Parts: sequence; structure tokens; C-alpha cells
Amino acid sequence: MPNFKIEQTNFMLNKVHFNYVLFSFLLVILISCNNITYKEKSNKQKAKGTDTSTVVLKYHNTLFTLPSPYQATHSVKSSDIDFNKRLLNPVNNVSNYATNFQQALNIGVYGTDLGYLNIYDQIPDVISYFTVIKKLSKELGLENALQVEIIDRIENNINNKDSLLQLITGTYRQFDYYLKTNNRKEAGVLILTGGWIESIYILSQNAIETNNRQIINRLGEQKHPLDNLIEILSPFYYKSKEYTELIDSLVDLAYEFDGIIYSYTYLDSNVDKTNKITTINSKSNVIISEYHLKTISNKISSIRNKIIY
Amino acid sequence: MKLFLYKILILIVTLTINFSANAQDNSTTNCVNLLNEGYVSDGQEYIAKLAENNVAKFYCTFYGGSQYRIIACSDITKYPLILSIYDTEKNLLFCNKEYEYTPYWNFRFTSTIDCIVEIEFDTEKWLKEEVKLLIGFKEK
Repeated sequence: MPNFKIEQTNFMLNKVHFNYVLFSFLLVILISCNNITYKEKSNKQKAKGTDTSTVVLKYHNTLFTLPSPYQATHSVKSSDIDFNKRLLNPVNNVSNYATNFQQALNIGVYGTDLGYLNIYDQIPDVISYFTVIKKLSKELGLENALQVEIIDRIENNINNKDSLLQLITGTYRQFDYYLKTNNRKEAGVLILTGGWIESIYILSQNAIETNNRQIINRLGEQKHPLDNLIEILSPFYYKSKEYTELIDSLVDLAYEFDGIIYSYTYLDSNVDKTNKITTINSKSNVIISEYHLKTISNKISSIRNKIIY
Repeated sequence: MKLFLYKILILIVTLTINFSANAQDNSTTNCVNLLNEGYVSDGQEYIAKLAENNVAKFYCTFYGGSQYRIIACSDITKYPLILSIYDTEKNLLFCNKEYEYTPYWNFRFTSTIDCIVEIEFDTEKWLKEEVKLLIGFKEK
């Protein structure tokens, strides 16, 4: 019996050992599979890196972003201010834009106008502004960035405000990606610039005309986005006289924004883990004098006039 | 032996399901697919190269009264992507380390705030890769 026990114990030990080996083997296979996936991804990334290396080298590790022009113009509607077509760049002006510099800036301008029209359900004008953007995009050589199915979807969703917004912003994101990955970053920067200038033009005109506090504040909050825009444009300062003048005028505008009093208080945030939402409770406040409001508004009009005519 | 193999099979299935559930595809090609559920793109694709400390920084302004989704993407899978958001006084507003390194999170801003969004990889080796940030805002 003792011998049997020893044999049984050995058998049990062997079985445990075998199980352990089998488990380890399976675990190694599992990890290897994961590593193979990683290596494949890594190789893919290397190949991808080769394709875009010229672009990657131009990027820095710090980027300056701008809030969506759509959001700025949306605050006009949410303040119950009526639609004002006079604020838009007329579609007839499109024939004036002969250079790539003007075309890119005005794709941005018309894009913001398109968003503004969409917010106020101005369907017939949405169609004509979209047509103008398509025309300028073609002249600028961006037809490859505009996928045919996107154009079809936009045209089919003209009457659906929400879908149209998704498609318009999606189109501008595609433009942006195309320009960044096809060594045409400057056109992308100009589209961004035109869009931002048009949005603060709409804000400033409404601020002056209505004296609405929410709109005035939104205008005052553009100090950091303007600083960011100047940072984005600065690598092109010496590229041409047009760039130099544009950037100089924005720097001049930034001096006026320095006169706005901006205060900030940090407060703890609340987290809703289930819905993946953090509420940022920190407070900011903007104080802008009537003098600064008028000066800023005039300077924005002046910059915009040079772009759209 | 059969029982053991059965247990192993269950273990593999469990691990696979668990891995799939936690791992959201935040590769640069799939990034835009994380911008859904009513969030609209701000119209930009922010692509930055990692600095020597494996950090990329993005200076952003978020409007008060708005809700945003911030998505961080990369093709690096060997190290977890750390997404942090600071105000300009360097107060930490969010870090995804506390939420299983989720590649995206939603934010509701009560006031307009300028922020610094950082994408980082915790390793000594300079990864020299590019990372992508997408920002979406919620339609009202």
C-alpha cells in the first residue's frame, strides 16, 4: 500500500506538472499571438511612417488648436438673435478669388457661412454656398479630398440640418487631413484662418448690434484662439507679402485683445464614470470695455474686407 | 485531464473576451469611428510627433456650456497611451490612467477654459511616432 501511495503521489505530481506545462504552453501561445499582432502592427506602422515621413518631420510636438467656427456662430442662434444675411460673404464674390491664397482663405469663410446658414435653416442659400465651396475646392486642386459619395450625401441631406452639419464638419476634417498628408499644410492653415476670421466677424457684428452679453463674452474669449492662430500661421510669415500682411494684422488685433480682462478660478471637477463624462467646474470671466469692443470689431471688419474682396 | 482542458478553454475564452472588451481600437485609422453618439468633429485632425520625452501637447479652448469628446489615437500598442488634460495653471483636470487608459472621454465645461491636452507614453525609449487628437462637440 505505501508503494501504491508513492506511485499515486508521483502520478498526481506528474499530472500537476503536466497541467502546469500545458497551461504555460497555452499561455506562451496566447502571448505570442498578441506579440505577433503587435509586430504586424509595428511593421505596418513602419511602412506607413515611410510614406508620410516628409509630412511627419514638419509637425512639432506642440500644436495649437482653434475651436470650431460653427460653435462660435451657434452661440448667436442660442442667444435668440435673428438671422442676418448681410453678414455673409456674397456668393458672387467667388469670381474675385484668383490666387490660391485667396481661394483657401475663402473656402474657410464660406464654410463658416455655410454653418451659419445651416443653423438658421436657410436651405436655398445652403445649396448655393455649398456650390461655391465645391468650385473653390476644385480651383485649389482639392477635388481629390472631396470624396464623390460625400458630395452626394451632402446634396441628398440638404433638408436634414443635423445630418448636414455632420457631413459639413466631416468634409472639413477630410480637407484638413488631405492637406496635411499631401504636403499642402499651408492651404489647410489658410482655410482654418478664413473660417475663424469669418466666425469672429459674425460674433463681433452681432455683439455691436445687439449688445448681447453672451455674444460679447464669446468674442472676448477669442484671445487664446487668436494667439493660437498666430502661432499656427507664424512659420509662413516670410513666405509672401500676403502672409506677412495677414499675420501683421492679426498681431495688431491681438494687442487689442490684450486689453480684455480675463480671470480664472480653478474648482474641482465632477466625474460620472458610468457615462464617461467629467464636468469641469472651473470658472472664467471676461470683462471687455465698450472701447475695446468697438476697436476689436473695426479691426476684424478691416481684416475680413481684405480677404473677401 | 478532460476537465483540465475544459478549464483551460474557459480561461482562454474569458481572457479573449476580457481583452476585447477593454481594448478599444484607437489606431489612427480607426480614430474617427470613436467620434460618434451625437458628437460633431471640430473639422480638424491634430497630428503631432512625440517629443523626446514621448509627450505631445495640444493647446485648446473649450467653450462654456458645451460638451466635448476628446479622443487620443496612436498606432503604438506596446505601451498604454496616457491622456491628460490640464488647465493653463497646470491643475490636472483629467487623466485616463484612472479609467483603464480609455482612449476617449467626454467633458462638460461650465465656463470657457483654455486647456493643455497631453498625449504621453511612459517609457524611456523615444518612440518617435505620431499621435492624433480629435475633438468633437455635442450638438445642442
